[in-house]
Amino acid sequence: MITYRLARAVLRIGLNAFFRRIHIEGIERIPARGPVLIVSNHTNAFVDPLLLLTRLERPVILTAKRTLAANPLLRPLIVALRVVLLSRRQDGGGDTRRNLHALDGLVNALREGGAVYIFPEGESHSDPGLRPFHTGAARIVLEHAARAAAEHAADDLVIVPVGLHFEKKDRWRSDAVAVVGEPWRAWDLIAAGAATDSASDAKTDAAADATAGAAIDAATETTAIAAVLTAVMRQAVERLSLTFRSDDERRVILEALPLIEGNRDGAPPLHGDTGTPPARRLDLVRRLKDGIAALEHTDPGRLRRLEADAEGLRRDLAAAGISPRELWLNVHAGRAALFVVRELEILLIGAPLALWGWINALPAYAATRTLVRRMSRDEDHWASNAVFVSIPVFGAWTVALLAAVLILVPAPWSVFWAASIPLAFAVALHWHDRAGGIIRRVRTFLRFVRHPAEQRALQARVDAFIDELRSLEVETVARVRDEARPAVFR
Amino acid sequence: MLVPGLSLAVVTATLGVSAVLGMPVAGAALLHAVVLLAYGAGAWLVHRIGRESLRTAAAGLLVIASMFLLYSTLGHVTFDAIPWNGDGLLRAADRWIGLGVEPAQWLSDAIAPSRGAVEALAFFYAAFIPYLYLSIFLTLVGRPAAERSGFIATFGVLYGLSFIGYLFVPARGPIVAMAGEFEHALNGGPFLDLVVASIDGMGGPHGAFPSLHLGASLMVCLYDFRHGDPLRGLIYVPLVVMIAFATVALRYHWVVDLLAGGALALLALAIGPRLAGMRRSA
Repeated sequence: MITYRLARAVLRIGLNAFFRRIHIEGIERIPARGPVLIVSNHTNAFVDPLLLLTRLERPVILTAKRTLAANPLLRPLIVALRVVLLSRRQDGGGDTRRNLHALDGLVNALREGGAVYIFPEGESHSDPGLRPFHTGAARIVLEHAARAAAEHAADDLVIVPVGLHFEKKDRWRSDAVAVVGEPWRAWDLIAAGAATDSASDAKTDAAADATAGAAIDAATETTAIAAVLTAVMRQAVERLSLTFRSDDERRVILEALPLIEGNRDGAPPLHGDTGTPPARRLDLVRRLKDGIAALEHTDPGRLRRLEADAEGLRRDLAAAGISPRELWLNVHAGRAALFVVRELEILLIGAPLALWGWINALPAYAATRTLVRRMSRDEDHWASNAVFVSIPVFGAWTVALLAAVLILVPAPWSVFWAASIPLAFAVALHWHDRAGGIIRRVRTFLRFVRHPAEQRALQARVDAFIDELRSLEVETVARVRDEARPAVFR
Repeated sequence: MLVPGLSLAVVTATLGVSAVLGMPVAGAALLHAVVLLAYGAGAWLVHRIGRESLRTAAAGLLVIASMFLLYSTLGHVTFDAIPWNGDGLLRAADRWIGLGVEPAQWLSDAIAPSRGAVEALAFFYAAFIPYLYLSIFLTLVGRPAAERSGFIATFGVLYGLSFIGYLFVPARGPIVAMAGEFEHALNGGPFLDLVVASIDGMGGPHGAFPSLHLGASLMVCLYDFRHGDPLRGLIYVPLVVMIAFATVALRYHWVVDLLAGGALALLALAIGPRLAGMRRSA
């Protein structure tokens, strides 16, 4: 338990160093006690489960592919976190029969009241949508229920769906989001699954096929129920994730989102910008997807025009160096003066400590960057490699640095130096983020002061674009309502 | 605004009792009674302001102005109103903390021979004032209403409780209580002169227990860190640490004053935002 807590604390530092913001919505929905099965999409390799694991007080048992154990950096972590390794057919030579033992272990952990985190897609990917879910998670649920029944105990397993999204998986200081959905009681799901047509059809078919003396194949019914459970889980995770039907759709929607999310009251303060709430973002994406699907059938020309408008706006804003979130920046002398006072204070007071942090961190940072670039063959593993390489590299460098300082530098300066290092590292990271924001904001402000008509024109174009989307939504809703009406009432 | 008001009331009542008992503080008691009435009237007027942003700013100004006023008046009346002196008790506490060593003497004698070190510490000691004032300004003007009212409540709790400490444990600090016991005199430069002149202008060293230098700077730093601007909180950690050193090395505080100031800051941070939240939902 101590090694688990220590690993969790260290990983949390690593994640906070890599990501600028980690936004977890709904974490209170994960029960603090009792058996819990967490299921989510899988897009960022080993970083995916860490987002929740590092924020939950209760221990969580992770699952991962067996080939990870061959990685010398990950092996100690796998041991410390008690990760359960699963064999996959696509890993070449993996014995999937070992999975029975592993899954048995997971069910035991759940029976003991533990929490298990599993990725039914089976592997991390960068596809626009979810991959098909394997039935392993559902089978765990059913096995848990069967054992509970055998022990004459209540089946108190809770299933929690989670959607994960990363702003830019291979970019340092980007955002990570996890949305935790409403939990279900497994027993309720199983009962609903058993009552579905597909499950009872499977039972009927099995009965019809049975020859005299042969028993109905319970496994067939289990398979059918597992399929239904898997479909339900997939649907729940899909609702919580930013999924798209194609790369094109993903590109179009992610281009349009920042234009829609901009706050008309003005650009958010640099220190208090928490980004768009995940629930709102999911809702916007769903509505945009519905709109695109509707237009593809009814008016593809209008869809092309909207896509062109979004692309044009994105291009013009990028060319002007303006972030969509800053398009509504208040060009107001009083606010500008307050901004200057506040941000100049941060820049000037924070600069020496940030510089001190960078000087002390530079060798470790350079080494980490070089190693991660060499190791990462795709964007899926960039963040994982960055987090898992940075921990031992920075750890070793910090120990070496402290030792050198304490030996070579006279007291009390050595004590000051040593004590300053963790603070200086943290300030360097945050100051780097803030300084970037300040430069962007000042550039945008000066541009809008010099060209107020440009700001108004861009705002008008965005307003027109959003008005068009709103009209489209109203028309689509009306059409759907109309089509749902019985023909005699149309 | 409740805790500062209560603190003012306690101070006024204490001065009144002391005046009745024959201490030469009748004028001060009357003055504080007037201040208390003015504070009450001000609080009533603030409540009647409709616009929330204006009400919060006005409340902030009222609390802060009254606390600063109280700080300057206490320096002149405390030792007349209260018949005992807390320096002896605080010195004994420090000796216990230092396991027989006097931390103020040890630290001050280590620093005093270096004029540069003394002047640097005087700079950090003096930097408390612009740090505090700038933080108050940026909070009252530039933050959302919830953060503003939380800050004002936290400030009010810290200062209100600290002034109770000033009054009932009146102490002047090692600079007076141990005068003549230090190996070296403090020699600095313009910053040390500024510090000495400011303190003398407020009635001389007083209000050692608890240390508001540390309490207030720690409160502001942690408030930033927890409520909206973590980077601002982080960059001032070195200043807060150096202020703590400076208060003891320059002989204005005992170490136990720092512990008390720090504890009060944490208490204020725990209950201030809650009080503000209760007021907003009421």
